Amino acid sequence: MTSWLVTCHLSLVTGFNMVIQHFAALVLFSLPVSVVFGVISKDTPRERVLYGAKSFGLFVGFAVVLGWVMYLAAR
Amino acid sequence: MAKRAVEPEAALKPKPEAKAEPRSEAARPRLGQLVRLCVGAWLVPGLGHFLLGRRWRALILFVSIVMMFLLGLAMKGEFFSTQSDSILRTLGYFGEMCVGVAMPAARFFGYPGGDLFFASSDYGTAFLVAAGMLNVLCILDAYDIALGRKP
Repeated sequence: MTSWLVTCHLSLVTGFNMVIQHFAALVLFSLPVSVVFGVISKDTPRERVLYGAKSFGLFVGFAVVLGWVMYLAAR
Repeated sequence: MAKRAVEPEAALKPKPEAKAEPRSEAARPRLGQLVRLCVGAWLVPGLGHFLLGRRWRALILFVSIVMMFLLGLAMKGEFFSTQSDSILRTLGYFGEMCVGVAMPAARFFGYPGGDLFFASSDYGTAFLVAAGMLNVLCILDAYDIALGRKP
Protein backbone atom coordinates (compact mmCIF):
# COMPACT_ATOMS: atom_id res chain seq x y z
CA MET A 1 0.00 0.00 0.00
CA THR A 2 1.44 3.39 -0.96
CA SER A 3 0.24 6.85 -0.17
CA TRP A 4 1.40 10.38 -0.79
CA LEU A 5 2.87 10.82 2.66
CA VAL A 6 3.89 7.39 3.81
CA THR A 7 5.37 4.48 1.96
CA CYS A 8 5.40 1.20 3.78
CA HIS A 9 7.22 -1.76 2.46
CA LEU A 10 6.73 -5.17 3.94
CA SER A 11 9.48 -7.56 3.21
CA LEU A 12 10.10 -10.97 4.64
CA VAL A 13 13.80 -10.29 4.56
CA THR A 14 14.15 -6.72 5.76
CA GLY A 15 11.05 -6.47 7.92
CA PHE A 16 8.64 -3.59 8.01
CA ASN A 17 10.17 -0.37 6.69
CA MET A 18 8.49 2.98 6.69
CA VAL A 19 9.63 5.90 4.58
CA ILE A 20 7.79 8.93 5.74
CA GLN A 21 7.48 12.58 4.80
CA HIS A 22 8.20 15.25 7.36
CA PHE A 23 4.62 16.38 7.86
CA ALA A 24 3.39 12.82 8.27
CA ALA A 25 6.12 12.22 10.83
CA LEU A 26 4.99 15.32 12.66
CA VAL A 27 1.38 14.17 12.75
CA LEU A 28 2.31 10.64 13.83
CA PHE A 29 4.59 12.04 16.51
CA SER A 30 2.00 14.48 17.82
CA LEU A 31 -0.72 11.88 18.16
CA PRO A 32 0.67 9.66 20.94
CA VAL A 33 2.34 12.61 22.64
CA SER A 34 -0.99 14.44 22.80
CA VAL A 35 -2.76 11.35 24.06
CA VAL A 36 -0.24 10.89 26.88
CA PHE A 37 -0.32 14.59 27.75
CA GLY A 38 -4.10 14.48 27.96
CA VAL A 39 -4.21 11.34 30.07
CA ILE A 40 -1.67 12.42 32.66
CA SER A 41 -2.45 16.12 32.85
CA LYS A 42 -6.17 16.21 33.53
CA ASP A 43 -8.46 14.54 36.02
CA THR A 44 -11.74 13.82 34.24
CA PRO A 45 -12.20 11.96 30.94
CA ARG A 46 -13.80 14.95 29.25
CA GLU A 47 -10.94 17.22 30.26
CA ARG A 48 -8.42 14.66 29.06
CA VAL A 49 -9.98 14.38 25.63
CA LEU A 50 -10.26 18.13 25.24
CA TYR A 51 -6.71 18.75 26.40
CA GLY A 52 -5.33 16.01 24.15
CA ALA A 53 -7.18 17.39 21.15
CA LYS A 54 -6.02 20.91 21.95
CA SER A 55 -2.46 19.71 22.33
CA PHE A 56 -2.57 17.87 19.01
CA GLY A 57 -4.03 20.89 17.27
CA LEU A 58 -1.36 23.14 18.68
CA PHE A 59 1.42 20.76 17.67
CA VAL A 60 0.28 20.59 14.07
CA GLY A 61 -0.89 24.18 13.88
CA PHE A 62 2.34 25.66 15.12
CA ALA A 63 4.30 23.45 12.75
CA VAL A 64 2.29 24.73 9.81
CA VAL A 65 2.67 28.34 10.94
CA LEU A 66 6.41 27.94 11.49
CA GLY A 67 6.72 26.35 8.09
CA TRP A 68 5.13 29.35 6.45
CA VAL A 69 7.24 31.75 8.49
CA MET A 70 10.41 29.96 7.41
CA TYR A 71 9.23 29.89 3.81
CA LEU A 72 8.51 33.62 3.77
CA ALA A 73 11.74 34.40 5.59
CA ALA A 74 13.75 32.47 3.05
CA ARG A 75 12.28 34.27 0.07
CA MET B 1 -37.55 37.40 37.99
CA ALA B 2 -36.85 34.87 40.78
CA LYS B 3 -35.64 32.36 38.24
CA ARG B 4 -33.16 34.87 36.79
CA ALA B 5 -31.89 35.65 40.30
CA VAL B 6 -31.26 31.99 40.98
CA GLU B 7 -29.34 31.29 37.77
CA PRO B 8 -26.39 33.63 38.45
CA GLU B 9 -26.09 32.19 41.95
CA ALA B 10 -26.07 28.67 40.55
CA ALA B 11 -23.40 29.68 38.07
CA LEU B 12 -21.19 30.94 40.89
CA LYS B 13 -21.27 27.64 42.72
CA PRO B 14 -18.14 25.59 42.07
CA LYS B 15 -18.74 22.39 40.16
CA PRO B 16 -17.85 19.23 41.97
CA GLU B 17 -14.67 17.92 40.44
CA ALA B 18 -12.65 14.83 41.01
CA LYS B 19 -10.04 16.00 43.47
CA ALA B 20 -7.40 13.96 45.16
CA GLU B 21 -6.39 14.58 48.70
CA PRO B 22 -2.87 13.81 49.86
CA ARG B 23 -2.84 10.67 51.91
CA SER B 24 -2.17 10.71 55.61
CA GLU B 25 1.08 9.28 56.92
CA ALA B 26 -0.66 6.03 57.87
CA ALA B 27 -2.20 5.54 54.40
CA ARG B 28 0.97 6.56 52.55
CA PRO B 29 2.52 3.64 50.66
CA ARG B 30 5.84 2.34 51.93
CA LEU B 31 9.06 3.11 50.16
CA GLY B 32 9.40 -0.45 48.90
CA GLN B 33 5.95 -0.32 47.36
CA LEU B 34 6.75 2.97 45.66
CA VAL B 35 10.01 1.61 44.31
CA ARG B 36 8.33 -1.52 42.97
CA LEU B 37 5.61 0.62 41.42
CA CYS B 38 8.09 2.90 39.69
CA VAL B 39 10.26 0.03 38.49
CA GLY B 40 7.22 -1.75 37.13
CA ALA B 41 6.05 1.43 35.43
CA TRP B 42 9.49 1.78 33.87
CA LEU B 43 9.74 -1.81 32.65
CA VAL B 44 6.31 -1.87 30.99
CA PRO B 45 4.64 1.40 29.96
CA GLY B 46 1.37 1.76 31.79
CA LEU B 47 2.03 -1.00 34.32
CA GLY B 48 2.25 1.49 37.17
CA HIS B 49 -1.24 2.78 36.42
CA PHE B 50 -2.49 -0.79 36.06
CA LEU B 51 -1.15 -1.71 39.49
CA LEU B 52 -2.93 1.30 40.93
CA GLY B 53 -6.23 0.18 39.45
CA ARG B 54 -6.39 2.75 36.65
CA ARG B 55 -6.81 0.13 33.95
CA TRP B 56 -8.15 2.26 31.12
CA ARG B 57 -5.42 4.81 31.60
CA ALA B 58 -2.88 2.02 31.69
CA LEU B 59 -4.15 0.59 28.42
CA ILE B 60 -4.15 3.95 26.67
CA LEU B 61 -0.66 4.80 27.87
CA PHE B 62 0.65 1.37 26.95
CA VAL B 63 -0.79 1.52 23.44
CA SER B 64 0.46 5.07 22.84
CA ILE B 65 4.00 4.53 24.02
CA VAL B 66 4.44 1.14 22.43
CA MET B 67 2.98 2.41 19.17
CA MET B 68 5.46 5.26 19.20
CA PHE B 69 8.32 2.84 19.85
CA LEU B 70 7.22 0.50 17.07
CA LEU B 71 6.96 3.40 14.64
CA GLY B 72 10.51 4.29 15.58
CA LEU B 73 11.60 0.76 14.77
CA ALA B 74 9.71 0.80 11.48
CA MET B 75 11.58 3.96 10.51
CA LYS B 76 14.83 2.23 11.43
CA GLY B 77 15.69 4.57 14.24
CA GLU B 78 19.09 4.26 15.80
CA PHE B 79 19.78 2.56 19.11
CA PHE B 80 22.35 4.64 20.94
CA SER B 81 25.03 3.18 23.16
CA THR B 82 27.00 4.40 26.12
CA GLN B 83 30.25 3.78 24.32
CA SER B 84 30.39 7.01 22.40
CA ASP B 85 32.32 10.24 22.73
CA SER B 86 29.26 12.39 22.39
CA ILE B 87 27.35 13.16 25.59
CA LEU B 88 24.20 13.70 23.53
CA ARG B 89 24.36 10.16 22.20
CA THR B 90 24.84 8.86 25.74
CA LEU B 91 21.80 10.84 26.85
CA GLY B 92 19.95 9.43 23.87
CA TYR B 93 20.79 5.92 25.10
CA PHE B 94 19.30 6.64 28.50
CA GLY B 95 16.28 8.20 26.81
CA GLU B 96 15.67 5.05 24.82
CA MET B 97 16.23 2.88 27.87
CA CYS B 98 13.43 4.71 29.65
CA VAL B 99 10.94 2.71 27.59
CA GLY B 100 11.87 -0.32 29.66
CA VAL B 101 12.12 -3.82 28.25
CA ALA B 102 11.11 -2.69 24.76
CA MET B 103 14.65 -1.86 23.69
CA PRO B 104 16.25 -5.14 24.88
CA ALA B 105 13.28 -7.02 23.46
CA ALA B 106 13.77 -5.38 20.08
CA ARG B 107 17.41 -6.39 20.11
CA PHE B 108 16.48 -9.91 21.16
CA PHE B 109 14.08 -10.24 18.23
CA GLY B 110 16.77 -9.19 15.82
CA TYR B 111 16.52 -5.45 15.41
CA PRO B 112 19.99 -4.48 14.20
CA GLY B 113 20.03 -1.10 15.92
CA GLY B 114 18.99 1.10 13.07
CA ASP B 115 20.21 2.10 9.65
CA LEU B 116 21.75 5.55 9.50
CA PHE B 117 21.46 5.61 5.72
CA PHE B 118 17.74 4.90 5.70
CA ALA B 119 15.65 7.89 4.63
CA SER B 120 13.51 8.11 7.77
CA SER B 121 16.13 7.02 10.28
CA ASP B 122 16.37 10.43 11.95
CA TYR B 123 12.63 10.52 12.50
CA GLY B 124 12.72 6.99 13.86
CA THR B 125 15.41 7.91 16.37
CA ALA B 126 13.31 10.83 17.56
CA PHE B 127 10.33 8.52 17.98
CA LEU B 128 12.37 6.06 20.03
CA VAL B 129 13.74 8.68 22.41
CA ALA B 130 10.38 10.44 22.71
CA ALA B 131 8.72 7.15 23.66
CA GLY B 132 11.20 6.89 26.51
CA MET B 133 10.51 10.42 27.64
CA LEU B 134 6.76 9.81 27.61
CA ASN B 135 7.30 6.76 29.79
CA VAL B 136 9.18 8.92 32.27
CA LEU B 137 6.14 11.18 32.49
CA CYS B 138 3.98 8.12 33.06
CA ILE B 139 6.26 6.91 35.87
CA LEU B 140 6.03 10.27 37.58
CA ASP B 141 2.26 10.30 37.11
CA ALA B 142 1.95 6.85 38.67
CA TYR B 143 4.09 8.04 41.60
CA ASP B 144 1.83 11.04 42.14
CA ILE B 145 -1.28 8.87 42.00
CA ALA B 146 0.21 6.47 44.55
CA LEU B 147 0.85 9.37 46.92
CA GLY B 148 -2.68 10.64 46.47
CA ARG B 149 -1.68 13.86 44.75
CA LYS B 150 -3.78 12.97 41.71
CA PRO B 151 -7.02 11.02 41.29
